[in-house]
Amino acid sequence: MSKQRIVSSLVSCVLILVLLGVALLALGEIRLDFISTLLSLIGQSTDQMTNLVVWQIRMPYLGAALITGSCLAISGLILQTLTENPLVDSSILGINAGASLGAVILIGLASQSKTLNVDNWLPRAALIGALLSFIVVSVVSRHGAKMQILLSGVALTALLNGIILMIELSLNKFDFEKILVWLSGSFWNTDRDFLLTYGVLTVVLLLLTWSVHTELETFLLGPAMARSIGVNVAKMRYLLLALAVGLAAIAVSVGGAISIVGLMAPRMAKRLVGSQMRVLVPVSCCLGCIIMVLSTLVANNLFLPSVLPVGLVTGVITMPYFLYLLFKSN
Amino acid sequence: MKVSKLWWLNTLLLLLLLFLFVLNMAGGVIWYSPRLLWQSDHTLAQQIMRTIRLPRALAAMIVGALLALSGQLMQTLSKNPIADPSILGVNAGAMLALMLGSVAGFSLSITNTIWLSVVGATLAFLVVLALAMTRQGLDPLRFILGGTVFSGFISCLAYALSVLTNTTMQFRNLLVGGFSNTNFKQVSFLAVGLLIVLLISLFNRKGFTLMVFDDATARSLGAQPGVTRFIGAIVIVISAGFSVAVAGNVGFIGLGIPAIIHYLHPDSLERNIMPNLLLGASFMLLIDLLAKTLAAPTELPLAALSAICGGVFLFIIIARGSQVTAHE
Repeated sequence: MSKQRIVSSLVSCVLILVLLGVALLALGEIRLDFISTLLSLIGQSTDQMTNLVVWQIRMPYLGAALITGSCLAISGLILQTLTENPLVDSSILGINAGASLGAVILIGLASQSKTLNVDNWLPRAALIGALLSFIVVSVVSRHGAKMQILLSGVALTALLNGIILMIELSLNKFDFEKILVWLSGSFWNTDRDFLLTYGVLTVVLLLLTWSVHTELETFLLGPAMARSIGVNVAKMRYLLLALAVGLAAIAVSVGGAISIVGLMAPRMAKRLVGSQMRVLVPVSCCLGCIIMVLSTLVANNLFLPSVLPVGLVTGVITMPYFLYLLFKSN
Repeated sequence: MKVSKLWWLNTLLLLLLLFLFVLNMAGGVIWYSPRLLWQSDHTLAQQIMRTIRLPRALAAMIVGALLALSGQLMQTLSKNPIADPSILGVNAGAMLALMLGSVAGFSLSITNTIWLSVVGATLAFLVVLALAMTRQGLDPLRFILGGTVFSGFISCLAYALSVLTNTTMQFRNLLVGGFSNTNFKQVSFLAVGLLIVLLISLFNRKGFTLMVFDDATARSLGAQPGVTRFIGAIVIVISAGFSVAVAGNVGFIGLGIPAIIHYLHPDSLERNIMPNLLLGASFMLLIDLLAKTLAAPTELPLAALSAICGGVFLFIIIARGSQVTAHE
């Protein structure tokens, strides 16, 4: 890929993301014009209502979209690189379902005992669930072909979703919306402190990923080549897998089980800018954010005044893409 | 020798079915003696037995048989041991059609639910088949992966629809599934469905059996693969549609029962239809019994119970490394 193309792709991705972000802040049941939204963003607006809408009501959605988008995209990128399988991401491998189950079990336990603090334990529970399901899938399909990994992931997801449905239905029979958070995804908590914590966590993990992006790149050449270049393959693989699982767990804690975004973003990025990790990582991240912000925009605005859960919109956007890939791959 | 073994299997399964039927009738929030059915005193308990538990047990039995049959056919036609209407989006298609129907203002009477879900199942199955078709014929892997993702896609649409029209409770009922409100009218419809499906299968059993071979071989043996596949698809969508209309999205049966029967008695499709139906019915009775007694007085969601069984089972199949395309 020519340098020019890389730069222009990166710049246009960022521009689109910014535009969509501002649109997300401006549009909704209360319509703001772009100028006043921008003014409010840089702290120059004196209109109380604009400030309230932008900062208190819509900013949390933007934050949640950015967190889930970047986490899922980078997690997907790492998994695709390590497994050398372009049809993989955390939702296909069952990692998202595992994290969801962890979260659901924690919330179930918390409703039984009043002493348990959900906010503190949620990321840990999601992480444990994600790790366990990832370990199960990789043990089961360790000798298997690429397709077998996909199948075991799909099977595990079906199983875990059954358990989630069971637990949630026995917890609360009437709050059905909550169940769907863990089956198909929705921004269920838009509390500022909650999102800030996860935002910081995301940034830390993204920076960590960035610090090893050259090592990640060597995996594209295959483990043997990576070893000969001087990468400690075993150790690096563990670190990268841990990062991928951790990022997926964060995304699930914030947005529930959102599907296939992590598959779509890196693939699109690869077509745009080729496979140099130096640019692939930021562009995938950007594209993941774009998909999530766009979905949030659609979810919040398409059927005003009702608001759709964002996971449904991402599902409707991303699943046809997966089918198209599958269709094309043979 | 083989025939007598099959005979034994059938007899044992029939006994199991009878036993579970009686157990299912007896079990519930309160356990009643099955003898109440034919005693002539008109107590409340007897009324419960006759008007609530009897249709429920019958419906569970028929749905189990239908699902087992459709699973068996699906696996034979796609030459693939992990095909099942709940995995491949057929059930999800029926659910979406039911949601659309109720939004469009159809009253969800029994007739309406049945034709809606059969239409939905047909359309979904057609899409999944189209996705899986390559120039070389049906690609089993694409069938499964495409089917699962397509299934998720349709479920998303159905849920979005129910959110927008404030009918989430209805969606919930479909998703949860179960036999808690079945009545005799539904049972009679189910019985008709089962009869149709059985007759079709009976007349085409030779053709279905030959489908384990590749198309060229089957043709040389006198089968017509295209026609047989079409008839098989009809049986599958009728079975799945009727089941979803009454019981919601019930997984596992179509996947696990034929596999268990195949393990117990590896034989051709036509010989295994009977034990398959019997075990499917027995298993559904057992799951339904668990759903109504494990956490009584609340009822456990049947769909979740069956999904857990199905997930574990599917996972074991894949984990044991059995070839996805076993018949090749």
